[in-house]
Amino acid sequence: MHRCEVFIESYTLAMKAQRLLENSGWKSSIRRYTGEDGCGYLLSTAADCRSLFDILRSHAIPGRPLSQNRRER
Amino acid sequence: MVNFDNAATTYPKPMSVREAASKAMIRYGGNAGRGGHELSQRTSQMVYGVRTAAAEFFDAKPENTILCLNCTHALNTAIRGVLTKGDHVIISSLEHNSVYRPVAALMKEGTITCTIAEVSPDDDVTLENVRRAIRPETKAVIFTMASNVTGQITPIRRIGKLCREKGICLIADGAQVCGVLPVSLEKDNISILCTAGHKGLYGTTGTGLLLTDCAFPIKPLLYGGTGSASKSPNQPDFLPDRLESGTQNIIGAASIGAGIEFIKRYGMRNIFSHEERLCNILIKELSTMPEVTVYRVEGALYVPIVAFNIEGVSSEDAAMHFNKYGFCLRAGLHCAPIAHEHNGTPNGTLRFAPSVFNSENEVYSFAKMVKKYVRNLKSE
Repeated sequence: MHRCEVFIESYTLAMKAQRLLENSGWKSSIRRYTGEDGCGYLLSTAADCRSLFDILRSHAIPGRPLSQNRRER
Repeated sequence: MVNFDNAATTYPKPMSVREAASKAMIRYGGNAGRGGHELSQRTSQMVYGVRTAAAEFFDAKPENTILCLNCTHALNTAIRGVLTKGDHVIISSLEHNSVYRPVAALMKEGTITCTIAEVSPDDDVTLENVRRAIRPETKAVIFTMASNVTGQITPIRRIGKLCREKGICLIADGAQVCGVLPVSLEKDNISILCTAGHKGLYGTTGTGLLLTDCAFPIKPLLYGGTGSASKSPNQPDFLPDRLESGTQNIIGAASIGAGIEFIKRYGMRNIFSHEERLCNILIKELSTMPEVTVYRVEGALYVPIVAFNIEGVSSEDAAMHFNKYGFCLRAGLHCAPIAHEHNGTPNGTLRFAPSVFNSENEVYSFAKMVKKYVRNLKSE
């Protein structure tokens, strides 16, 4: 069950974000994704988007939301 | 065969490094940061783990840890990436050609000007020499952390503090120090640290690292595929992708990871103590021969390297002789002509550079052979 998906262009930064989420108790997965700007990675997590973006922002990791709360849509 | 040329590249490599390289050939056959399939993902995760380990080892961030081909590649990336038209740089009098040549090339193009700051055995004097060389347009100080010729250690932390006060970029060449002495981007006030992966870090050849604190943006040396932001004709503006075009040396990355792990397990202090003890044994043995000159100056500190010459014979001829008896030593200029000019050895020196895998017995055997060689030279 993914509540938030974010597009991160760099694999290294996606991995870093995943580790940070893990440290906050959130599970996540990374998969390859081709977005508007070309290749990158999709970080999917059970965390809500606000929590995720707080973590990304505090570590200067650029990411764009792709979807939020898919199950509710 | 006994390798005393570990300042060029360490050999043998630890068993764990050989195993990691071998395992990488089998398990990590994907292209890191490219495909979305299992093989690529698994390889990407391994590379990220190495990047994180290297970053922690040098107090940097994983994304600011750039995998390079060697220290020269890292230094060229830093030098060409930071300097622009009209900049002035300061380099030390002990620099390797990996610094001297890219700087000389930029000078020849009319892009930069350069001042060489003399390194003294007295750190206060060295620091003052750097301070005096600073101009309003000084953009960077490029300094080796230890000479690859004599092993003399430079006061990098104090130079870094000065650079931070003046807003100058410090590019440090850590090729002879990393893995032997603790190096911290933060504590040593280094803006950009460049090092080899195949020397003190015990990785395979074809590996190097560049670590940056991002205070000075680095323009890429190479442009191309990064597996990210692919639709844009522009190089990504984020690290490490910005500075890592083309397929990575995956096997090399695995070897660096295992090398760092080896150093942590063995203990850097233990590695340094062992190698220093071997150097001291050799210096003591060589000091019994008046025909041998050892290039060490009182008051200076050294990494485990001993530079010496034998009267009446060129360093290259002596090294050829030692090779016949199975001892591998580097001779000549060691790609550092300005260091030899500074040192007063324009024709070069012999360089003894042990690793953690050399033994006291090997050093005594070598010293015995040198004594015999010197005796024979005298009787000729």
